[in-house]
Amino acid sequence: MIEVRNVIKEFDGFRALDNLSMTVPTGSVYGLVGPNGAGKSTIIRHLTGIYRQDSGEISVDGEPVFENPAVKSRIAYIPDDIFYYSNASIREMMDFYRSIYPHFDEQRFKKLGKVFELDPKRQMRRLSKGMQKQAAFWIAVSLRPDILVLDEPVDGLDPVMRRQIWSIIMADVAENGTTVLVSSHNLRELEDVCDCVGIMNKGKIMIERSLNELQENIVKIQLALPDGETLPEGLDILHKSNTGRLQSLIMHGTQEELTQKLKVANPLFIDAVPLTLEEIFIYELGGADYEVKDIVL
Amino acid sequence: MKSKISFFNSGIFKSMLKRFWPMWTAYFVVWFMSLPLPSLVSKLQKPDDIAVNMVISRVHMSLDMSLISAALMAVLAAMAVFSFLYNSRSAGMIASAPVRREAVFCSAFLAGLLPVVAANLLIAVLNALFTSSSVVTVPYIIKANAILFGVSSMEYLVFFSLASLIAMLTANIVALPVLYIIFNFVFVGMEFIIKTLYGMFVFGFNEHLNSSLEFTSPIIYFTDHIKLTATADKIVLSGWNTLIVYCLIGVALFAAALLLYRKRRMETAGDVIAVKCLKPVFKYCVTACASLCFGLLFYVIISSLFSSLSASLLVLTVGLLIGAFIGYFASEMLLKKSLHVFSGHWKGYIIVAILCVVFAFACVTDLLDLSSKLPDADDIQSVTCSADGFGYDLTERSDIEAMLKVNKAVIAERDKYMNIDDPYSEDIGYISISYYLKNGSVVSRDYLMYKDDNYKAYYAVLGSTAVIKSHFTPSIEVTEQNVYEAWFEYTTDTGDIQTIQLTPEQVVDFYRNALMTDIENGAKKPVAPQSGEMITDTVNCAYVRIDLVKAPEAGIREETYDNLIIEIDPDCTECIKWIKANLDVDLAF
Repeated sequence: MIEVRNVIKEFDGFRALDNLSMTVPTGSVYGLVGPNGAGKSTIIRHLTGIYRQDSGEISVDGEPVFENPAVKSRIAYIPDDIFYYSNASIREMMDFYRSIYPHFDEQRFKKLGKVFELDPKRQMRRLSKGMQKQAAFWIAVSLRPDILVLDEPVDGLDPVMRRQIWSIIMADVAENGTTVLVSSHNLRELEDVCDCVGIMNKGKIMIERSLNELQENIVKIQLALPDGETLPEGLDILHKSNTGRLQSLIMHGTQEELTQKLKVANPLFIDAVPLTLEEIFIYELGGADYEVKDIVL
Repeated sequence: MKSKISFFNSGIFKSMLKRFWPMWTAYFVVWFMSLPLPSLVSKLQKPDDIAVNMVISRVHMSLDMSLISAALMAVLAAMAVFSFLYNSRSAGMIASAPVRREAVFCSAFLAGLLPVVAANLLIAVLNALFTSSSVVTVPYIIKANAILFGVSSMEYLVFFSLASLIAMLTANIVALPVLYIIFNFVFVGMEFIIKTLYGMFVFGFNEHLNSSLEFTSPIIYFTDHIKLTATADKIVLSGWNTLIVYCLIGVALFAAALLLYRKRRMETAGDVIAVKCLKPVFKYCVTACASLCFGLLFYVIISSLFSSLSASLLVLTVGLLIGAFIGYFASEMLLKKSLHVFSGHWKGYIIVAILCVVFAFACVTDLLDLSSKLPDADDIQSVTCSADGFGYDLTERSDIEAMLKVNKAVIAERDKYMNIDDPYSEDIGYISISYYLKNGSVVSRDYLMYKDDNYKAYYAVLGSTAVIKSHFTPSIEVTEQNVYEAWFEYTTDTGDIQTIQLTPEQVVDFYRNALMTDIENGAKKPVAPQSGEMITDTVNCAYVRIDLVKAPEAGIREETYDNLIIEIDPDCTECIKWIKANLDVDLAF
């Protein structure tokens, strides 16, 4: 289990992480989402031991991460901007990782070579961005990590390769109990793979729940009320819009609870629609003053 | 449970060796072409005829070259092995790896150190093999090459440790070599500038060529303190203690660099200064250096327009303030990586500006009264003075005390001498006194003064017999074997210049029996030019010149030379008699 407790990090007076706390259960696929500048990459760099927090704790199974090779050897990290030594081939980068990661599995590397179909002798700098990502993924999975930390993992990959990679990840999770932390703006894809979601904003985790709980606790209700009827009190409305008499309400609560509450107003029409992760993201952050703004140009 | 601390990681070490192999190879090739290869060519041409002096000449050349190559290679190696720190992506990759920072640093350090040391060893071994001959003994060859290996490797350790420390202070790869060069010369350079500024205002102050901070620059210190002495039988390096001390300092620098790396924040990749608490130090050091450099330059250019004290103070202050402005905001731009630094950052500059004004005031008015400060006679080893274009050495206690007394008298009348309008007037003379202290330092004073009693007293001290004898005693003994060439030149009544060659026997006879006798009798004292008289007015057109050469001992690198020019003055009665008796020339004065 990855635990982050009350982490604070400042860069030249700017507080990038503001008492951030989060928990990534073992064996889960945790989606870390948030607007640009929320601090996702910053917390990921703390989780992988690159940055040291100003205060707070970051641990894996109770052990601190920073300067702890025993813990870091269990973590494989693929950043959004892949680094490789200039003029290094895929094989040379593999050799480098093999020399410093104790659990590197060469057999697995060979097997995955059939999946990725990249020439290991080819220089990394001559590969396209997507192919570089494939190469990074190929090496990372061969490290046999207990924890896989992915920052925009499928950005730049074609649809076939995206599915391929997700299938490898999910197979690893299923067979080996690998914990995956993935940060991505592609919420539609995350929705298919994540067990847990953490929505981050301004250096804090706003919401951290399992995906099911999240989707169960925020609902889009479309209803039409008879003339003279108003919405009952006590509704936690995140967003409201009208199309004629039809109102669309985004509210916190379960579908059953909210339907019961709204029946009091004798709606002419009522329908509950589950939200996608993307919609949850938009409306939750809208409530946190990060909404889509209507601008007239 | 945290992992045990390890200080080495073979994966990182090997990857750095492999990645930068062209650099190590180029270093080896350059040295191979400079030393073993020429030795091999010589051996192939003349297998049994490699002279000792060729061996020594090559070791001398290599020692000179090793200092520069060590200094240069050190910074290149540091830029290579620590290059991962200067890019956020590479810094992230290494930092996320399951290797402790101590192991990363030490592995990188060794990857930068060992290939060069190994190359040095291979070069020494190859040179020893290619130098072997029946003429030069094996122990001699081994020792010569062992000296070369030892010096080059120890110098490299010192420079590489310094470069590694600087690599930890900065997070910008362009800043590393710049800071490295600055660190090697900044203290000596700033001392020179401050002393030059003081020399412009403080009466008699002439210290800019005397550095007491030489030890802060390994390049300068090694140049002066590591010397090879070689004969056919033995080859000795003086300076091992210096090298050992500096190597110990190098180890300390390594430890400091390691500590800095352990604390390093990887988010600083790309910053000019990676250590937060050193950013103000960098800023104010750059400001101080820029202020002094620009202040000196500005004053030198503008000062000829003004002569009064207040104008000098104003010009110097303006120059210092402009330089401080440039340095302060330029460093702010480097630290903030932005050109927009002029708003809200004036407080620091105002403090610096006040210090500039204080410094200028202290300089121009000699607030510290440096002009009065002279060493005690007990602390003085010897004194060197100049007169008639020659240097005179005073080593006797009585002479030294007499010169100190003259110096103090000059200082007491400084107000008179500081108001000289025309330094080129015939009424103005120049004296120069350098006190060589027992602790190795030098105190120098130069004065423009009227040709008054103090001026005459100066010449009187230089006229003591011991001083004159010392002045006419060359570094090579005057013997028949050491005379290379000698002649007597004089102007005839008709104005023609005549030259008569002297034999070595004549030279020795003239020197020992005529010149030395005249000196004992009080002749050859330097004569203070009178008011209205130039030094050239007192030069005679009859003189003896003796060129001496010390023949090299077998194996010594080169011959040594010296010469003696003896002007025949009217009071050189024995010299005049000798010339008449031996050269049949009647000198009419």
